Amino acid sequence: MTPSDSSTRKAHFRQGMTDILPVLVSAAPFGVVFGALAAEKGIPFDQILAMSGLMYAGASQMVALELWGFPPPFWTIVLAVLAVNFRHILYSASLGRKMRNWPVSRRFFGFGFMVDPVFALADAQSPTHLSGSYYAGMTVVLYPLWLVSTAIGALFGNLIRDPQVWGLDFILAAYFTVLVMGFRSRPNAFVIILATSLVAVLVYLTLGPPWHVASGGVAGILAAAALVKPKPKEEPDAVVEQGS
Amino acid sequence: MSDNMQAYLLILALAGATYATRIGGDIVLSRFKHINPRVEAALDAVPIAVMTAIVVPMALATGIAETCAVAVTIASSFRLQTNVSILAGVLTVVVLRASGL
Repeated sequence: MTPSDSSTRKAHFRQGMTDILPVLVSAAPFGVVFGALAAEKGIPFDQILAMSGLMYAGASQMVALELWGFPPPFWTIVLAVLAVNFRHILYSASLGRKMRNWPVSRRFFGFGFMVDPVFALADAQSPTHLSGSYYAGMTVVLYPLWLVSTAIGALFGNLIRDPQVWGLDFILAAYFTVLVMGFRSRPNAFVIILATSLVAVLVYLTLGPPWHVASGGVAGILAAAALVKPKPKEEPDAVVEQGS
Repeated sequence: MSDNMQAYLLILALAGATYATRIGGDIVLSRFKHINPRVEAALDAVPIAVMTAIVVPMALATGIAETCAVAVTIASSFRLQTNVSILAGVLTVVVLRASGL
């Protein structure tokens, strides 16, 4: 390892911590609302924290919460969570291509922390090779925050009586909107957005959530596959970024 | 089995299911040495397609306030920073909801 490797890694790590900051603004209220609703349902504090710590997947935690009972319907909740998290399979297939130079153990560890904004930022970080330090930088900020905000919600949740009045339920949607806009210069972005929107809205209005995410997403990537033009000639290999 | 045990068993199952989706795609795809250009394009489209699918019901099928707020967020994102665009959208939704839309 040369000094420049080490300083590059530090720079990537810091960049990851910086880039995830805007996400905190939307993730923290989301965590608080989850904690508050879970406590209101009568779920013990340690179990609420265990959900955030072990699942670390806000949208599916909310769905599990909605179906939770005493006793909770085991398979119904497992299936619903799988449905909500189906999109991760696509994320992992897509992002895994940029992690081929990671040791397998690190890859398997890292994927455990792949939440939506982390995936989107990681995808944007490099067209070919994702820096492990960058990924770690995002995660060491976001994961603890998710736990802390869950705990705050569970303990002091009554502070937020109605998340809708403050638009807290909208923050995440606004964040994803900005992310999508950031991807707009990608090939065929407009057609992909159009195909996705069409199917997602149709499914949302007929089958209902959460199926619109998986079906809309699949419609968009099928459109992208259909639009592929014959391959241009190979470009010379980009400089490979090592030891990230 | 105690209620507590039962709850923890479920939480572990949910964590396992979630983790499986997070490595599943990579496990399948890393078996292939060569990836077809269409598959490649499909995978490149994953972020934009899935993020759009998440947002679109909020944008188009929730209410006028939400639709306007997403529009404001999109317009802001051309010029303004991420956080400012989000804030603009959230303020829009708060004001419009308060006004009864």
